[in-house]
Amino acid sequence: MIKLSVNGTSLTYDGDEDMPLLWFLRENAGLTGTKYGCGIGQCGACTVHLDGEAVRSCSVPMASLDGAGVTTIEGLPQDGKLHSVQAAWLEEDVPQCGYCQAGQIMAAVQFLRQFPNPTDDDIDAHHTNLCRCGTYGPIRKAIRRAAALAQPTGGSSTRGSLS
Amino acid sequence: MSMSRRGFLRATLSGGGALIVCAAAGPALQALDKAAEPEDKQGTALIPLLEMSADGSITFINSRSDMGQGAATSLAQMLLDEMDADWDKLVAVKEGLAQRDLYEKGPFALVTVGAISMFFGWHTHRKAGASLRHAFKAAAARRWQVGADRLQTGNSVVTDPVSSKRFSYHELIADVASMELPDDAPLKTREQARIVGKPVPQVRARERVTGEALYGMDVDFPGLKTAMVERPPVFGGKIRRFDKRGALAVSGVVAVVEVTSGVAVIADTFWAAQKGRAALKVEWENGPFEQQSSQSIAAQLTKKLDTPDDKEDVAGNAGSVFAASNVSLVEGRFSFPFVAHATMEPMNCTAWVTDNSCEIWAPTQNKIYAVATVAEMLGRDEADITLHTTLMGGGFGRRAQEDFVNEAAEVSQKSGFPVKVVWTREDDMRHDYYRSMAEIRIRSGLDKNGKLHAWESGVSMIDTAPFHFVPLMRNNPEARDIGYAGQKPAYAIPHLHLSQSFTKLPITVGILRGISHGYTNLANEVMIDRLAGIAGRDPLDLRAEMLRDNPRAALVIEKLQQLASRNPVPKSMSRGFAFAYEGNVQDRFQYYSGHIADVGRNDDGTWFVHKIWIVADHGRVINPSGFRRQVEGAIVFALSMLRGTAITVDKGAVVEGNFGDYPLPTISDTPKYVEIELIDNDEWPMGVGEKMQAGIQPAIINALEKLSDTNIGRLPIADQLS
Repeated sequence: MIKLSVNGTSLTYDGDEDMPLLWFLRENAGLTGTKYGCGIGQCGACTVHLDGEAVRSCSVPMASLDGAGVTTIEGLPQDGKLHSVQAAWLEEDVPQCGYCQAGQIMAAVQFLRQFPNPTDDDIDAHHTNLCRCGTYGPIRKAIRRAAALAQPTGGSSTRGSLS
Repeated sequence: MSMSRRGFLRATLSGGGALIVCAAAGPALQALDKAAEPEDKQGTALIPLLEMSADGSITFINSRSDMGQGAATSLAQMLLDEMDADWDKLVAVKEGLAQRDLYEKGPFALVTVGAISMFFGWHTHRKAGASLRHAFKAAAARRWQVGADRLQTGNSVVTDPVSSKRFSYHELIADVASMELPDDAPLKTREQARIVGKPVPQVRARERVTGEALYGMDVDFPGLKTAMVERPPVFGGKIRRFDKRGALAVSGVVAVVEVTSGVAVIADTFWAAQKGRAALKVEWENGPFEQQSSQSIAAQLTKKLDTPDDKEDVAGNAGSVFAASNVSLVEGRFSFPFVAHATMEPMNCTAWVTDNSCEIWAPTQNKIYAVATVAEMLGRDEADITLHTTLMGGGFGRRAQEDFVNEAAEVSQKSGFPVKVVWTREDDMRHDYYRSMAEIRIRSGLDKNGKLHAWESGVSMIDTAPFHFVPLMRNNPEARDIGYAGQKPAYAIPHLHLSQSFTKLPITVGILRGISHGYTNLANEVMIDRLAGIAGRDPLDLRAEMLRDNPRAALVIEKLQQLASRNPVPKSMSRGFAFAYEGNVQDRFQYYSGHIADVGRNDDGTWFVHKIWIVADHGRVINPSGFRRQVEGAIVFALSMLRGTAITVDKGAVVEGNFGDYPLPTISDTPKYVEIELIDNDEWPMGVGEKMQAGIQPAIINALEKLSDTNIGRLPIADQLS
């Protein structure tokens, strides 16, 4: 029996331990915001936070998750209020088809914890989620906007350059 | 204004007191290029367009498919603007059902392809909006017993400036529902527009950032099973025999059935279906395509360039010019691989077929023909099939094919279970309807003064007709144009000869973002820049000279010239130009774009795109924000093919299976600077998502050819730079 916490709720699992976390989230927990895109950890559509790290849930077997704490896109808003990264995503009108965006947002949230005031080079080096609609330009702007929103002064970041 | 119970628009009151507005758009759409509506408005079924609830909140009903290209947003803009509704009262967007009677009767019935949503919507949605605006005015006029002409509308309110009285639209719902709606209410002028032309964020954006948005992959209900189909690895292959015992032994697998496309494993979960399918033993009859590879197909296509199936002297006689001594012959050869769509959401479809019902949930660009094909497969009436279009994770033309919908219905019928057939990434990549491989040869004749006298272009590709996304068109020779559209340059060239060669092969080919323009226009535009280089001429001057008689195209080039001269090429970078278009000058359906790419190379020899400029005449601009998003997306899509998204065939099967060997661009590949100049005129609006990349790729290649002094003749570019 595997016990884990998802978005603060305690859940158990006693099925095939090879099954990746992605399918537990989608099919057992009913949290379909986390998407299947490739199944091999390449595209990032399934990105969630596992004990504070961004991971690609299609490549994390349930066997490794006893006692783990998982946050999905559904667990990101606090007190009914969108996370600053989600708000920035809306302000920059990022989504086209939107399928990859939950993963993009989860990756960006974790990235901004490590790089609270990122340069373009930081973004290029560390934000690796794929988007076939090609929303990368708006994603770059939204990451920078979210960084600015999170500054204590609420002021805007001045490093790097943007068109 | 003429009114008729058999007219274009109907409004009814729902049980809940909401106004439901439907349009009989079928005949209206067919009349697109005629001044008048046809007399006979056959059929009584209607397209639902809009619901206005008793409190005035509005639900827009999307009749097209929105794969992320923003069609729903822009169509709602057209409708709500024309009816003078309050945009902030738009609270929901629902997908319209697929019922053929509801839509146009032509062969392209509601297939969302080819940038046509804006074009058709400019007719239907505007017309409907105008009719409603006048109906609200007429209703208020009747209540106040005044002339409707003096009343004004705006933000879902009718006001009488004389008496200062006002009605909100929702207070007039019952009146409008009992009225006959005008067929030919006058349309707003550009100056009266309040929503059209404004940058509007995409509808349904919030649910896309919260994870609440439900895609085809997310469909669920009690009892629903997950199915995976093992399909023949070699195109045209058949099952010889299979052993299902291993699959059935996997915990969670509930059934294994043979279907037309392969062997379906039905299970309680994705994981069980995947494990079950891996435990299947299938012996395939591969067939003759097993002997084929990308190299052998390229050799066949190349050979076939010399024996075209169709050829035409569009103007003059190019052959005679090449024989003359005063022109020099310049030849260009271009080779293109198969390209897969790789939508982020792989194909999937949910179907529940019982003895007397069939309900389908499909992320489809082609709901009408999906229903038609399923009806034929089941031997039932189309009216007995209910198809819900779900949100979809990208389309790019893949979802215009109905194969994955029909397959799901067959799996459900044969297994007796409601099933969601899920394609893994590998399934999706190896059983796509690829953009065809293509070989292109262009010969052109230049004189000493750098004037282009003759142009001869041959395109050789796999025959697309057997796989056409409109089943009625399959094997119709006219359906082959998907494979060579865009071959004819817009340029006035005195001697123009075009030929096409079609090779029939079982590998499934179809439409991919911009169809064949992606390769035909690339070859044309790279050739033009090479010719300008040989003649020592400015590449934009050369284009301008040949577009003089096409004012819209000429203006695009003029604006491009202004941009180029105002903005010097950054140090150590190189600049390429390109032009793209679709349509004919005599039709409403025409649009143009000009492209500049500034490209540089890194110390390690790799290349990057610094900046892209676009000048676009896509007619009236509906949503400048959506326009920009589509340009940005097209740039990334264009880069993907230049950098590495090529499908290779070996022993009759596709080699690539996932993003490891079919690499998509990442954020670091994306140019940081994109500048767009819109020629926002009063011509009919055209979508942006489709053809834009057909001009972006050649602009980048032209810059790279100059930068490296090399001819680039194949995609991906890979090691061709010196």
